[in-house]
Amino acid sequence: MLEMFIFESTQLTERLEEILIEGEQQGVLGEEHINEIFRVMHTIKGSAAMMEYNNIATVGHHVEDMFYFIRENHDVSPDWKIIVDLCLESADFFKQEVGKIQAGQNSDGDENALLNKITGYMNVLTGKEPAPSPFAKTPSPVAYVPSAAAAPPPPQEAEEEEDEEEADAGAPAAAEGELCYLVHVFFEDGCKMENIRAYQITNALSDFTSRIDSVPADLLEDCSDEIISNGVKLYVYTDQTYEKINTVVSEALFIKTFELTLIQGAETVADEPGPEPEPVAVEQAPEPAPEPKKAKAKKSAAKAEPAPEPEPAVAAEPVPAPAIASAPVPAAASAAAAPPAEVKQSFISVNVDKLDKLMDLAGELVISVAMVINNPDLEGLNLEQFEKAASMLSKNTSELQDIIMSVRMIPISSTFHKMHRIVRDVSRKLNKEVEFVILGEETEVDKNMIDNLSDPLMHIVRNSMDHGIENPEEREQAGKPRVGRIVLEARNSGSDVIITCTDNGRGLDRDKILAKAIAQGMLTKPESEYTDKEIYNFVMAPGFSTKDQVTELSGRGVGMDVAKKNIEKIGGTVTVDSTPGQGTVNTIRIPLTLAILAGIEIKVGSNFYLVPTLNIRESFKPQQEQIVVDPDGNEMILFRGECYPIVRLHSLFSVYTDVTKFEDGIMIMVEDEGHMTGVFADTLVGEQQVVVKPIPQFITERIGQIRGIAGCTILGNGNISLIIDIKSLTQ
Amino acid sequence: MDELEIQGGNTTQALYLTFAVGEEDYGLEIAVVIEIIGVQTITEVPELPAYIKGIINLRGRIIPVMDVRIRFNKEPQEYNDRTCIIVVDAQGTNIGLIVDTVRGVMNITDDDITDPSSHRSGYENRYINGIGKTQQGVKLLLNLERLVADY
Repeated sequence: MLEMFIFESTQLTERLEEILIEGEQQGVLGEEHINEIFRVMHTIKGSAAMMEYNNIATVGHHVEDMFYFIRENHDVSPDWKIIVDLCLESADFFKQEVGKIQAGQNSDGDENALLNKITGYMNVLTGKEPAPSPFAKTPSPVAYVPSAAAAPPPPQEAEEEEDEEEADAGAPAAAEGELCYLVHVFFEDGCKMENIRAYQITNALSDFTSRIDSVPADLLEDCSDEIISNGVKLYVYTDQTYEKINTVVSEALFIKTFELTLIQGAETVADEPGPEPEPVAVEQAPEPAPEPKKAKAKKSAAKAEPAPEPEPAVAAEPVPAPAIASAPVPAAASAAAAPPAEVKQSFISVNVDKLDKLMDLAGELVISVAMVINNPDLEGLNLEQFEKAASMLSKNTSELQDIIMSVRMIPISSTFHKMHRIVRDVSRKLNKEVEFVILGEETEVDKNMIDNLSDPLMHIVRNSMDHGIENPEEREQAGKPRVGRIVLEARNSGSDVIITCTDNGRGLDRDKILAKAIAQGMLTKPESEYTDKEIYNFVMAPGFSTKDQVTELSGRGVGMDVAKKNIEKIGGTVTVDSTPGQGTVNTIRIPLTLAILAGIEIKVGSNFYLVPTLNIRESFKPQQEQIVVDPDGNEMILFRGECYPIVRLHSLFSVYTDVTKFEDGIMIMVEDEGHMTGVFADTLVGEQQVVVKPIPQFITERIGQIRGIAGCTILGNGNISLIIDIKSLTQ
Repeated sequence: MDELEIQGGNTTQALYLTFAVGEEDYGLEIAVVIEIIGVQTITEVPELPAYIKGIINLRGRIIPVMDVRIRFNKEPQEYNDRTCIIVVDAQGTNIGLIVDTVRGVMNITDDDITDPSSHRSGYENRYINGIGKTQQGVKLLLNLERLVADY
């Protein structure tokens, strides 16, 4: 439940930011934007309130109020800039609080400062004096698009969002005795947990009612299905007015329609069949009630008699019969806020573990199919029909496998869109004008990659803003357009994804970087041997910063280093290139997926091993004259004029093999972080794309990390192959 | 594989999977047994003790396998089509036990189980919980935790 809340809130907050930034670029929040913001805020508020994160709910509520006012008062011309700022601040507040909740802390952020700002601006908008909820006093036109005739008389009252005092004040004198109301509620389709939502309504009502009976009786039981089909009926015994109940119920969330009836009489209605759900507010009353004079007649009664005369409660049992007022009111704010063309959600969220299992299973299936089709029992038989069926089966299974692989891939767009916010904030702070362009956002990357990509990207974009793009004046002097440009682009390249962040700023200062690198003792070879590109890439080194002053945004020399580390963690690389005066290009290269590794399968004795393709530089049959043995017996290989150590896999792994002479086997030159080693194996078998799996815990618990082994994998034929850990061999 | 035999009894009893390693028959409480499979391609892993033969692919899960013969210091034997791998759940760890052959499943009542210390048979008693006397002869009841955990 909590997980769901965090997931949902995070997504909604992201969506909110997107809308706001989009709106800001257009200079105005259109009706669609407002509706969507309204909807987002409403959902955040609702779920936060349900989880009892009141600070989040309150902020959500206030923002909602603000938009409510704007939407209903077309004549006001709000300052969108301020509104976007306020909303982004609220979004930050949500993020911060959700972050705390996620980290297992209490959501204890103080919302008051933010609330004051929002109410402050509300006051400007309404021109009213400060009040907790100023707009509530503004007479608002019809808010909840109900069929106006059916609406209960004092419309403003019913529509109030926050109106306890109002309702009390505006209502006719309250009754002395108790009344019994029947509230018949239908929830929105697919709103989930209908029983809990119904229970929340009873909770909200319970403050001022003496008793509430419900059908189904126990809402905490799982009775959602019943509520979906028949709605929930609440018999409310109270001395409150019709309006009051109406208000409280209409404030509840996810209500599609509800019907509030004042009932008197003596017979129980508990067993009567509930009316069918009606999407539109059509009046409907208990079916088998004795008097047939309901519907229209009753409604006119309702209209004529807005505030029903208080009647002493007659019976303890819920009672039907001549209802005095039957006022179907279409759902509360949420329904009203929904734009007419709501797009159905066509996504579901699935636990990645399940996908992993599914992928395993599909791999297994492919192997089983191969086992059946190539079964030795079938050898020599002429099975035409079988062959046909078999080839169909193989085709379908491999298609299935492809699709399952693709399920893990998600477009990079959400990560890219987060950068909008960075660009906006930084450009404000630094008074720089920047046009931010996103290309190839539909490029798909493994889910795990996406999660690790957003921090590094943030650093890089921020760096481009801070170091790259010049001030507008400076740009004009340099004969460039005033507005800088940052292009974030993603594209596929083989089994890699390449992400570039290009700015047209001042570029990197080669000499300054070189001087700094020399000062920090970073050079490992003579200065003259460094290419420009190598020098530029010093900016990625830990602690490197050419900025003389540390600013809030950058200059500590940590950012790019961290970005690089994060990218390397997911098996990627970052490089930087620059043309002085023209701009800088940061290039991130990451594999499509972490779970899948490209490797060359090699054989030693009867065992198979896998060497990651990324690490292999070359492989060849060594000649005797290439082998050098030092007096200690250490074998080395001469490769392109340099001597590198040799690792014999058969002796490292104590595997028996006939191939012990170098001339009979194969030498694979592998490299990791600049260290090269020759790995000696019997033969190369072929290239494989594999899914990396860890060595069983049972083994690692006992003997620890095995030298030279990074993990294992299941090959296409069902056999297990060990993946060679190049890092441990080259050190 | 031999036919499964189930015997009745009135006193407290438990089902045991019985199998042979060398000359002796052993029993393993059925509750810990996940499945029985034939011998598969075993991938050797370096640095392991001799009785851990390596790892196998059990429907996409990779589990270690232990040769019980070698574990009991018996002569290693070539695997044949009677050789079985009993996949067991040893307190959450899945591991395959390579045994000569699986005999079947039988009920052994508590009355028929005696303390191993009364039999000075020379086997490694620390892997044995008790000795079950059945019509099919004596079954040595294994202590799985020790078999798997001891190193």
